[in-house]
Amino acid sequence: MARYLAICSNPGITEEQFRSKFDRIKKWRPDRRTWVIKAYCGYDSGDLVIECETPDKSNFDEWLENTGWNVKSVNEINLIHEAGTVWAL
Amino acid sequence: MSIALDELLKLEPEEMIEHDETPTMEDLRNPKQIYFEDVEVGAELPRYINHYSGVHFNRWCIAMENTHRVHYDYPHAMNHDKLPGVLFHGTWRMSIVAKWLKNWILPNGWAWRSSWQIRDMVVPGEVTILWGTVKEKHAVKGYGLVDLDFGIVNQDGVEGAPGSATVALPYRGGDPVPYPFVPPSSY
Repeated sequence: MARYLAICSNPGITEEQFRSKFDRIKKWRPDRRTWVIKAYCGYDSGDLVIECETPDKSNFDEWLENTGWNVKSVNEINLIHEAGTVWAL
Repeated sequence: MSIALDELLKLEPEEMIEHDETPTMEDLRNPKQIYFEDVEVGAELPRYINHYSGVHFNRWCIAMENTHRVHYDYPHAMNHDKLPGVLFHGTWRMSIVAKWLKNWILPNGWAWRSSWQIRDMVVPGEVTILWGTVKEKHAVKGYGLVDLDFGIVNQDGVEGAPGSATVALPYRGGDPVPYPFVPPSSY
């Protein structure tokens, strides 16, 4: 398993459009070992930051393609800081 | 008449909840006995359809004094154990299945035995649909035994807890199932 972070863009995105990507479990957990953990969305910039755990990056690439969002980059991540705790992935 | 399971699974999660058949407290205070003769092979049991949040998970952790972090600590569950979220407890499923069987056979039946496997994770926000069907019936001395197949599917139809159970039901006009229950030696 590995963790990936995607930087995307979709200017003008609305809350409804954002919610529609996650309103069923199978939309954010497309298979038993791939899940989109977190997604951040900013209205003004239209930027999106998406975090995904998956054994195969191509699963995340496919998920991103299905969103229709403009994908700027997809990067494997190794460390996370969260409220004082550092997680080594 | 209950909606068919395959039809239920076509609905949106919020609509699925509307088909929950969990008895009310008033129903349980005045249970209507199901007799062995009333049950037909292939019949469906009431479906318990729920939609749990992380608060419910925390409550069960407290009730069970189960402080395993996979059940309440999101960062730990996701970053350490690489899970999609905090997880529904196995013991909670046990509790729900036992309650479901007990409610069905009240007041004079007996939920004799059950077994199941945990095959899929449940995270907050998922819909859990506890379903059951009558598999076989066996008339024995003093009461009837009913074998059931059951499971807990999520809103996408993924079976997460396939299992089977046997309950004892009184005969119409017969005595209540004896308590304490002694299973037949030949079954």
